[in-house]
Amino acid sequence: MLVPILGAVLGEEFPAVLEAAQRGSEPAFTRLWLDANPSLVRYLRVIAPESAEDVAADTWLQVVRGLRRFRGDEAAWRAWLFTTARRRMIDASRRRSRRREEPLHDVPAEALPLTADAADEAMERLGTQSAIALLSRLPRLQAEVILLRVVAGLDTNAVARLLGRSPGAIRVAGHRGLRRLAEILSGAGVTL
Amino acid sequence: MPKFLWTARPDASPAEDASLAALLDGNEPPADAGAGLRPVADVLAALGASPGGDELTGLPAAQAEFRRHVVAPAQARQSHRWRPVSLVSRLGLRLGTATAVVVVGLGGAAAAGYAGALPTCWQQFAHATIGAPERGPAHGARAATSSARSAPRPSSPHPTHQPHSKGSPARHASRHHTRTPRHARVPAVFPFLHRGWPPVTPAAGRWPLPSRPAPTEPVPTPEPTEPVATPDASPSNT
Repeated sequence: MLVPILGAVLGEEFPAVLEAAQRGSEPAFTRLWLDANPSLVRYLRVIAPESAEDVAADTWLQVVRGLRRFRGDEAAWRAWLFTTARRRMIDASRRRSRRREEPLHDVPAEALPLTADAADEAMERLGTQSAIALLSRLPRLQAEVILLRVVAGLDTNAVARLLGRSPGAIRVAGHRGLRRLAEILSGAGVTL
Repeated sequence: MPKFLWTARPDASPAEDASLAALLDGNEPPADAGAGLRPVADVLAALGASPGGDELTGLPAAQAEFRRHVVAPAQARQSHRWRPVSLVSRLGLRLGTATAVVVVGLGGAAAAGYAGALPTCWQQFAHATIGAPERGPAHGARAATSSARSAPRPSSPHPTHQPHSKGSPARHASRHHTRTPRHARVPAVFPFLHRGWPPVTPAAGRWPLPSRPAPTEPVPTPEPTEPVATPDASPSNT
C-alpha cells in the first residue's frame, strides 16, 4: 500500500478556491498562496539560492496579473506557477550577471541580524534546510526533477514540458538523482 | 562483435525502479525495498514538511498585489454593472407606484364616465374619447339626431333599437353593421393611444360618422314606352 509522505494539497476544493480568488476573494487567494509558496521557495532555494525570495515575489506578481485568465485544474495551476518561477529565475540570473553584487559571506557575522527566535527557528528548520542542502549537491537536472516531482507535485510529462526534455529523460534523471542521494546518505552517514 | 561502451547497472532492478518511482510520486517505498532507500524517503519527507516562518514572509506583499490587480478591477466592474440596476431598483418602486395610481385613476374615471357621473365637460370628453354615454335629457335630441344620421339604412333587426343606450360605440356599431369609429377601436383605458391628442372626433351632429354608405334606391328602369297611338287620319280603320 502506498503511503503519501507529503502533505495534502487543495484537492477537490481547488476549483472553488480558484474561482473565488479570480472573483477577488482575498482569503481564497491567501489559501492558494499558503498552499503553493513553501514548495516554490524550497524549489528556488535549490536552483537559485542567492535570490530565492526575490524570484518568488516576482513569480507571484506575474501570477496575480494573469490570475483571472487562468483556466485549468490544480496540476495545471502548479505547472503554471513553477514555469513562471523558472522564467523569473532565468531573468534574475541574467540581471545578476550584469550587476555586481556583494556576496553574503563577505559580510561579517556580527553584522548579520540574528535573534533568539531566528535561532530556534533555524533548529526547527534544520531538517528541511539539510534536505535542501543535500539536493544542492546533486547535478542541476537531477535536483530539479526531484523537486518538481516531489515538492511541486508535477507528473513526469508536466516536468518534461517545463524543462523542455522528453519524459524518458526526466524519468531517468529522477531515478539517478535518488540513487545519488542514497549514495550520499549511506556514504556520509548523514542524519536528518 | 561491437563492444558497447556502456552496460546495464548491475545493482539496478525492476523492483528498485518501482521503489524509486513510488518515491518520486510522493509515496513511501514498498516494504520490500532496499534499506538504502529509507533515508532517501526521509529526505523527501523533510522537503514536504510544514512551512516555516521564513517561507511565509512574502504573503503581505502578494496580498497587496492581489488587491491592486484583482480586487480593485473586480470592484470597478461590479460598480459599473450594478449602477443601472440600482437606479432601476430605486426608481422601480416609485415608477411602479405612480403607474398603479395612474391606471387606477384612469379606470375610475372611465367607470365614472360610463356611469354618467362626471362633470359636464369631462362627461363630454369621455363621450368623445371612450364612448361613454352623454348625460342629461338636453343631449337626448341631439343624440337622436346623430344616431338617426349614423344609423344604418338597411332594416335593423331591432326596429325598436335605442341608439347609445348601452354598450360602447364599437359594440353598437358592430351590432348594426356600421364601421366602428376610429376613436372607439382603441381600448377605452388608453385613450391617449389615439393619433393626436385630444383625439379629433366630430362633434355630434356636425359631421356624419363614417358609416356604411346608404344603399341607393334602385333607379327604376324606364319602362319601354309603347308608341302612342295617334289618331289615324286614314279612313282604313273605320
